[in-house]
Amino acid sequence: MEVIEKAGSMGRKGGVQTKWVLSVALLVLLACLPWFIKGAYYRHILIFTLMYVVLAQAWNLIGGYAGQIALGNAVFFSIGAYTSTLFLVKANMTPWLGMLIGGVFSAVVSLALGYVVLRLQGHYFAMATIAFNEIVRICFANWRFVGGAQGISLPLHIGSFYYMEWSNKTPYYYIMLFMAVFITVFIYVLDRSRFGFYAKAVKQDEIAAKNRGISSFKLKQLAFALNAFFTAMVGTFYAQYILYISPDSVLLTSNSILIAVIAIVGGFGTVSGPILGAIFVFPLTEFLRAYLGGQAMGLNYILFGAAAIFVVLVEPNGFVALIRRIRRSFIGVKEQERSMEVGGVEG
Amino acid sequence: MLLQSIVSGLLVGTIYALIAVGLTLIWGIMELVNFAHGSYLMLAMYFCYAMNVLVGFDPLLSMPIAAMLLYILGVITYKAIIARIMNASMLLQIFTTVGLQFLINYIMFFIAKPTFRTVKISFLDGVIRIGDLFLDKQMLVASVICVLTFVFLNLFLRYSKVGKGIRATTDNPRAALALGVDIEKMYAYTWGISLALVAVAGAVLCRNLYTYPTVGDKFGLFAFVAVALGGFGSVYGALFGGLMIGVVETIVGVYAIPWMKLPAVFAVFILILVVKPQGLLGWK
Amino acid sequence: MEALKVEGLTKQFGGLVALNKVTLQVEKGELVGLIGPNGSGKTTFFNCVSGFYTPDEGHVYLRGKEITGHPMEKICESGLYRSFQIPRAFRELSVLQNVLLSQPHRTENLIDILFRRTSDVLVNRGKEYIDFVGLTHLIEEPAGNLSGGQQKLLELASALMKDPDVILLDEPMGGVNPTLINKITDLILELNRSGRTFLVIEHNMEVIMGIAQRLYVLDHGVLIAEGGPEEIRNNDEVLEAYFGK
Repeated sequence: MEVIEKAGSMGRKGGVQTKWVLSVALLVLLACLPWFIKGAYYRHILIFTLMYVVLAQAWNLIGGYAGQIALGNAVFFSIGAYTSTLFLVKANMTPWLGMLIGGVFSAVVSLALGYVVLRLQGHYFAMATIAFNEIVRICFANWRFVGGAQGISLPLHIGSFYYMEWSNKTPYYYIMLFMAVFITVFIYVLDRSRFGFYAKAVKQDEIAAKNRGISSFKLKQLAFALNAFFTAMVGTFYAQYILYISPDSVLLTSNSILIAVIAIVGGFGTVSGPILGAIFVFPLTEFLRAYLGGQAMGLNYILFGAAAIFVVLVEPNGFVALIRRIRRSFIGVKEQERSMEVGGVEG
Repeated sequence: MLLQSIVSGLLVGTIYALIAVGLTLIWGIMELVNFAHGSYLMLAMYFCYAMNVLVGFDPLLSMPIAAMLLYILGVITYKAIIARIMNASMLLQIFTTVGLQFLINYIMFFIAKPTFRTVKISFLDGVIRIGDLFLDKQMLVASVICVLTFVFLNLFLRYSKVGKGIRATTDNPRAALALGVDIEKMYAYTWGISLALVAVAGAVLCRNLYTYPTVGDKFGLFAFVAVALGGFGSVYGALFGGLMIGVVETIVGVYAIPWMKLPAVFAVFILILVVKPQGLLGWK
Repeated sequence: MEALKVEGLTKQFGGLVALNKVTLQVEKGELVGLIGPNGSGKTTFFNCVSGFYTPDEGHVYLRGKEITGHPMEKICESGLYRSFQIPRAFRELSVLQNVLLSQPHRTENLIDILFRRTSDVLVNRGKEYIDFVGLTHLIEEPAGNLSGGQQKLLELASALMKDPDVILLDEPMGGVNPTLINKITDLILELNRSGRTFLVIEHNMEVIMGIAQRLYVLDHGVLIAEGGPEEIRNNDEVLEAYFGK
């Protein structure tokens, strides 16, 4: 069947096969990684990187595809974390189930919030999400039921599958790897489905899309709910991994912004962009920080902020597009495609 | 008691208003939201702190220097970064100032470490009593400075050549261009002035507040709220919005549960954005 | 039952009354023209009918069902397609993709949208319409590369894909080079002959007088005349509206 939904179908047919081979090879490599990398520190970096991949991919649904810059995802993250944790602490429920409940609850909250704010234009929407983030953060910090500012320490059940806690980092790694692969594949499918198709149309001209009968609002609602769902699941994972959650660790607005920046720096509205962004922000900058010694607190984030400005000035479509540019200048191919402000072309 | 709250709220509101005015000037002239606004406030506060520690200056003394420095920083920010994205998509524009906020905050995080700093001030301690009202001297002075700055700004906008140019470009860019106004320069001026205003507020604030890397965020958000309340682009609207926030915050703090101050303000904010984006007064 | 019925449509902008109690109807299979001097409110009228604006007063009925004030996307799915004066093609999508955006949306569910691609049946239908308007040779071309006239043809194909009850054309000949004008005119006539209902705004008098069975004349938001081409041509009020006293 013809794939008409793929925008910019200017054949690079040979490229598709190499992509598949590379992806599978990468997957195998990643699956075997725990054998090679034994150090707890390095494993921790891997796990966090994968977390950011999932968070950035989820963000991309609302930011890249639906075109609304959401800067309050920490709320959904924490809904996931707190929901599963509270169920665990109060009802001894397995976090596996809590994760699902948290995800669904988070999606419901996003639908409620979205109903109110999704019609807002870009700037206003961004501001509204920041405001909402802050409201939730301060309320949670003063709410005894969720532990207030102290937060909640998760009960120790090391080595239990039911309680999703292990002493070894390996199971955690595989859970995150699975989630990262799942969401990447999910978005790949979405990109080529009608969702991706309509999203690209809405981004180019929302009025014209509505004129064809496409409800841009419903599309945004869907994107927002999916974003909330996946983000919440990572929240549960985080709680089970770190074993402590508090408003100052999971509800910071700066974390919400970080996720958005990762996704955009990596590549707006593309499938591999968030992966690149996450790899850059965490491992690369983390190694640099470690290299320069613990004194360089926050240095990695500065680098990242600088990368953000760099992206703005040099290549607005993110690292993905930058790499493509460099590749093309080596191969010497003529610039067939017009430079696209808001991308969506997965070559 | 109520009057006390209102007056205190108004005093604090003038500071919010001054910060908000800068934001609304930028929005008015180039339809850009400066998400990094609060971060520049923080920079001003750190500068005054540094001057206090190194040279012993009271922040009020450092204020003119801070204003000048931040003015230059504003112009540089415009020319180096903002000018490049003037014609970019809204998403990219949002990302730019968000990225700037990110960058500036973390640079200070790195340089200054997340410790809380206080400024040692020598004079103006204590409380004045006017009738039944007890007014904190610091607050009073801060407020007066802000009001004076606001008045000065208004005079500047109305009578000076640059001020008129800015207003013309804000109201009708094409006409301004046709009349020979250098639009690029106006943009740069606006950024410079906007941040200079923020510097004044910062100088005043660091006398009373702890200085730390993310101190500006709350004020940045409040500036958004003020601008939304008063109508994006309206200078008087920003004043109105700032005063309103000050009053609402204080009253909620006194009469309701104290920690609800900020959530209340932010909830009002979302409400305004959704219900009446032209602001309560319907300007611009 | 008329295909499209508008009653007492009124729209104000501040103090300006753009449309003043406009009433008209279009029967199924008719080709009706809407003309009037510049600024008379024709495009505003289309905007109100198609959901781009919400009218202040009045009612709009599509095949007897009220659609007044409904959102644009809902009205489109109900069976009214409106084309824009300046074509709004999706510049970075191909011609085929542009047309296929008009596929039926009302019947789509979550699974369809998330996981399923457009069916072959619909793709072939789209190709047929592209062929009908003569753009097959450009089928993979990004719509942004098409000329103004070609974009109008694309708009027509996109309209057909929707299979609407009524098609609102806003100046289909506007900015089109003369060779294409004949082509577009022929296409519209052919479609009308096979039963399609049209309401057309057009400035090009020669064209609209030649194809419309009936005409409405709008001036300063008020409907001043209605009738066949001959009647309208000789109507004093119409002449006054266009040329002054």
